[in-house]
Amino acid sequence: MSPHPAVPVPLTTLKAGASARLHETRLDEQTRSLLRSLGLTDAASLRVCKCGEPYIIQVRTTRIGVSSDVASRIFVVSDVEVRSDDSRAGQRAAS
Amino acid sequence: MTAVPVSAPPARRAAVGAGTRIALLGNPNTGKTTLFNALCSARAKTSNFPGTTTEMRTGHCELAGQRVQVIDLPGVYDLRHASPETRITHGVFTGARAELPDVVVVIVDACNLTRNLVLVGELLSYGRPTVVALNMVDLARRRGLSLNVGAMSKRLGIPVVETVARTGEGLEALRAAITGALTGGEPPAHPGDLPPAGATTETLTVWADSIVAESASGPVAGGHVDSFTERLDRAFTHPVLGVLSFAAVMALLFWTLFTLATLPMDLIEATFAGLGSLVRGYVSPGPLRDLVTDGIVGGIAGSVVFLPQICLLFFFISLLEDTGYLARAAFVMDRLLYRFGLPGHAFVPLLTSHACALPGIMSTRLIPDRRDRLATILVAPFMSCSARLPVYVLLTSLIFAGRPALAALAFVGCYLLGATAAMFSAVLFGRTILKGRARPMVLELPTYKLPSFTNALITAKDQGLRFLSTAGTVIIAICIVMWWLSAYPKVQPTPEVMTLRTQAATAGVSPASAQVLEARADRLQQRAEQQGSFSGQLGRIVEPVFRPLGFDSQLTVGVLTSFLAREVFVSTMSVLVGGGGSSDVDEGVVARIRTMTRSDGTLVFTPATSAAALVFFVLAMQCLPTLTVTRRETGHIKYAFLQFGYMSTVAYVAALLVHQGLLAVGVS
Repeated sequence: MSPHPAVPVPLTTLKAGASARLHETRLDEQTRSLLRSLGLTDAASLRVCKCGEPYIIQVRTTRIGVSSDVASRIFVVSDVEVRSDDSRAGQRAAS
Repeated sequence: MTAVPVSAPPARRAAVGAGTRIALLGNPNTGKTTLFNALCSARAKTSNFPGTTTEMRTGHCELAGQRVQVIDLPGVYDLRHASPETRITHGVFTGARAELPDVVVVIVDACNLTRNLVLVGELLSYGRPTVVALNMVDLARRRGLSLNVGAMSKRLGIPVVETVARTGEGLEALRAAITGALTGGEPPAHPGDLPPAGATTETLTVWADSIVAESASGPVAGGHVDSFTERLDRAFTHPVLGVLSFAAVMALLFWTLFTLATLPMDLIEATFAGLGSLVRGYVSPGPLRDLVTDGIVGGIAGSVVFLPQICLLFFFISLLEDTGYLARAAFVMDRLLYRFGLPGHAFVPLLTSHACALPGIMSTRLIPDRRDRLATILVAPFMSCSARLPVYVLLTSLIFAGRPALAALAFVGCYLLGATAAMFSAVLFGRTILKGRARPMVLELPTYKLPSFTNALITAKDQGLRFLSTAGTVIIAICIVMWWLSAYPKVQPTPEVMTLRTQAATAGVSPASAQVLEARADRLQQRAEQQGSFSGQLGRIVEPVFRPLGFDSQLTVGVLTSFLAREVFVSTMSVLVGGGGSSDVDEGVVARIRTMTRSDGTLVFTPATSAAALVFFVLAMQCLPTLTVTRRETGHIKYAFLQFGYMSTVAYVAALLVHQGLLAVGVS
């Protein structure tokens, strides 16, 4: 069974090639601030390029390497799920 | 930290003059340093920002026939992130840290437009005349990016110039744009839609995205997949392939380093030896001649001899850093080092310390976080440097005479002991004075590109000069003091020496026999001088401290003299047993040292004492030059004292345990 749509999941649950949007980061202020400086701002789109140690994500054209420990504290909403959620919301609105 | 820009509009200069200041600013990995080198050629000066250990480079370039100052600011992603680099940059733009720059040149990576334009947006709110150098446009074009510089310039309200710093493309246009910004009357109006000062990164990002949408087309969004970069990244960060490629790169680096450094090091030693002989030929014997030949020339040689390793290391590090590989390698080593509280970046400094702790500590500048940098600096000298090699050779061959396999094993054990001590000390420091673990790894993985040879040469030259001008001078002074301590007070020739010399001068003695007698007299005199010198006297005074380790006064003198450099231990021991003062370990010297006796007639180098001495030399901080570099790189003398105190204590306790332990199990 697929997880509930739009439920934030740790980055580590995604597969390579998956796209997602940032939900929140549960990290120390310094690391969170560095990630924001690198472009990982609120709701930023990201693509998982590589899983494992390290995780490599791409935000726009910036490739960011993060240790798996950091990746497990980055919570994202998978793009596919967002879309399915949006479409359901659309259906509800139509009905 | 939230940057609060100055709101007052800047006063415009009417012309370019000698007092004009240009500041270069940009994200890391944008080719900022390459552009600085291209603008200022090799005439730059590297120093620390006042009161910090962050490097600043200043140079001069010609603009409209005038020589103007160019400052290379540290690379920053934005002006909010709380890092020393950001604080410095913020200080420069508010005039708190330096005189305000007349023009700011922001270097923007054409392959990473949005993120770089966020910094431009933040900077524009400071109100300084600004020019954008859109760098690495060649790479961007190759990726299929199409840029409309005119549209970008119009949106930003400032000149935008396409450049390829590595090849020099666009440099003339950039100079013209800077001159224009300096002389062109009122500054152009900043874009009306520029987010206000203090706007969030999200707001600035939306603004930057809108500029990118208007002025660029092609792979600017996240959907673009660069398969070449993807494949290389997978290989270089792979658990097996990554480690193998890292081992191969490091093996090649250090093999080249050692091979190439040997020749200039030998040349430096030969040149200074020649210089010493030359002075000896012109100056009559006496204290002045000794001071010049042994003190000053020896001191300068003792400092300059580090240069080849330092310059070559920084040359290779610069090349590797330029390619983008180092960021990937940091992740490979992070898996190993993180559990000891050290970051992946620490691998180059720690590995380099196996050659020499001086360049090792200097290269900790690669580590972004100060806590991580301090932890690495403090433990780096535990790594067995090449100066310990002769000592290991001597002591292992004393312990395992005629058993080369065991001696080799002990040799490997020394390296392991040093590395283990470094790792456990890092854990200890992480739990005490440097609380916290290494910062979790988050790194930009820069675009792979060809390295700049010119950058590497300039970095090597700059770091070499920095070493000589700061640590180098202190090392020369230390060398002179240590020489003085071991050369004074002068000792009158002993009766035995006098007799030998008289015999040599007696008529009828063949020249060959006279030479032998003179040489013996010289050796005896050297021994008497060493024992009578200040360091010899000091050795006898502090001998009780080292007695529990099994050291006698002669061995204590050896330990004390090796504070100048560890290899001096071998030459001191050699002199004490009546050999020459060479630091080479030859069979004759080893045999003589093995038979050295204490004042009570027993052997000095019993297995227990030799093992304790070996452990002591693996762990002790016996290198004053390293302490001067630690002081400089940490910015505080307390870290040098801490390093000295901690390592000496660890060495003493470990050697004591080994000696007493061996005695307890019946090995004397």
